Amino acid sequence: MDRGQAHTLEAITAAMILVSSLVFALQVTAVTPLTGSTSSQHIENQQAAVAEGVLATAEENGTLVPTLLYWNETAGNWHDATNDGYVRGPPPTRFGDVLEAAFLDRGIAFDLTLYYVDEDGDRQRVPIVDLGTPSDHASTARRLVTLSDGDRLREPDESPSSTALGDASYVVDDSDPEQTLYSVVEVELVVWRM
Amino acid sequence: MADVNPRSDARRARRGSSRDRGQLLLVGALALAVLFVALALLLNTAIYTGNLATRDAGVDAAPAIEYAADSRAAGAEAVWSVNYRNNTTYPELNAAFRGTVGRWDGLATHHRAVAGDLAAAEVAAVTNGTRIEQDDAARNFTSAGESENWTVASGSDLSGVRAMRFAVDASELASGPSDAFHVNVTSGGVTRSLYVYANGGDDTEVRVVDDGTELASRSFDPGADGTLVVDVSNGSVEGTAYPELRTLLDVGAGTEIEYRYGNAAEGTYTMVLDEPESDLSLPGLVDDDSGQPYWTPAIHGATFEVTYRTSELDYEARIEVKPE
Repeated sequence: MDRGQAHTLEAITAAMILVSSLVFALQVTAVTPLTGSTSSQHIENQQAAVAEGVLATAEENGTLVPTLLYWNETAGNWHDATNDGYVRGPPPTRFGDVLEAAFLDRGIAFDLTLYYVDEDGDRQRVPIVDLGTPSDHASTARRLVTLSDGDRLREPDESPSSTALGDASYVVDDSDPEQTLYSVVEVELVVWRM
Repeated sequence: MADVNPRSDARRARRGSSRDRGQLLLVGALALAVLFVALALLLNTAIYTGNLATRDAGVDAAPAIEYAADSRAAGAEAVWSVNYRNNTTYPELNAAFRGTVGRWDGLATHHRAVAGDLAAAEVAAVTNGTRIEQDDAARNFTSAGESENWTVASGSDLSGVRAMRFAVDASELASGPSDAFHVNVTSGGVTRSLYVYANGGDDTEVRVVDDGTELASRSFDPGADGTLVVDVSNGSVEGTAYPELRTLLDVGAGTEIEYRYGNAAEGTYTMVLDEPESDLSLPGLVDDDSGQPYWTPAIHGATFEVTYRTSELDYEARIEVKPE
C-alpha cells in the first residue's frame, strides 16, 4: 500500500518534471538575448536613443558634414588617421567632441562608418572611427547625408579649406557631375558597452 | 504515507525497510527538482516580463519622416541647381530636375534597402516659373529702358513669389524716405511696400509698409563691404531676423510687383515667380544677360510622392518642394 502510494507520487512527479522541462525549454529561448550578457534590454534601448539623438543633433546643427569632410587629399585619408580610421578615439572635430562626451567618457565604445555607393552601384564602407568589433548587444543608428559640389573639405583645424568637393579627390566619387548634387552617403554609428 | 523511522517497526525485514527509504528519498529528490523547476520558471517569467516591458512597442516612424525631410532638402537643392545650370527652356529644366532627383533617390534608396526598408521619392509635378534677376552690381534699379518707376512683373495668375533678395550698395541710396527706392507688391487691392534708404548716419533704414500703415522700420549697419543684403523670403537683413519682411510676399492671384525711384538704389536682385513668362507681363525686362535686368525660365517648385515601407510601416506622403 505504502509502496503503491510512493509509485504514484513518483509517476506524477516524473510527469510534472517532463512537462516543466518542456515549458522551461520553450520559455527560455525568449530570454536568450539577455541571458549571456551584462547588458539589459533597457540599456540597449537607451543607447540606441542616445546614438539616434547624437546623429540627429549633429546633422541639425551642421557638425556632422564637416566631420565627413575632414579629409586629407594628399594622404587620401582622414586627417592624421590610420588606414582603419581613428582607432584611439574620435576625430578632433566638434562632432568628435560630442561623441567623446556622450559615449567614451561614459564607458561606451562606438564605431563610426561612412557608406557610399560607388560607380558600379556597389555599397562601400569607409571606417571613420574604429574602436573594435561591436558586441552582440550593440545598438545602431543610421542617417542619410547629402553632399553637394560646393561643400568644402576641412583643414586639420576644421576650418573650411579652399577645395570644394566638386574639385577634390575625395573617397566618394561625384555621382551627378551635371548638377550640384555630389553624392548621398550613409553614416552609421554603432555603440556598445565596454 | 511510507514509514521513515525503521526503529518503530523493528520486526520488519531489514531489506524491505531500506528499499522503502531509498524510494522515498528518490521521490523527495524528484519533488525538490520540480520545485526548483517551478522557481526557475517563475524567475524566468519575471525576467521575460521585464524584457517585454522595455521593448519598443510602438512602430518606429522616424526613418520615414527623416526620408521625407531629406528628399525635400535634396529637392530644394536640385531646384536651385537646375535653375542656375539649365535655365534655357522648360523641357530642359524639367529633364535636368527629374534626372538629378532620380539620381539622389537611387543612391538614398540603395542605402535604405540595406536596412530592409523600401524608400522612394518621385517627382509628381513641377511648377514652371520665371526668375527675374539683375547681376550687374554697379547698375541702378531702373528698368531695361531706364525708367525709374516701372512694373517688374504682373499677371492675372501670378500668386507666388519666392527667393526675393536684394543686395544694395548703401552709399548710393536716397538720404530720406520721400524719394527713396521702394518695392510695391500689390495683391487683391492691398499694396505692401519695402523702403530702403540711408537714415542720415552710416546706417541704412529698411521699412515695411502694409497698405499705408508702417509695419516696422529698423536700421542696419551695411558692414565693411558697404552692401546691405535684404532677404525678403528668408525674413532677414544682413543675417539678422526681420520677420515683417515676409508679409510682402503674402500674396494671392493677380499680383503686381513694381519698383519706385529705381534710380535711388544700386546693386543686384533676384526673385522667382510661380508662372511661366508666357503668362506674365514683364515690360521692363530683357530676355538675355546683357547687364540689364532680365528674366529666364526657372522651376518655381515641385511636388514629390514619397513612399517608405518597412515590415511594420507603410508611409506615403505628397510633399511640396519650394526653396526659400
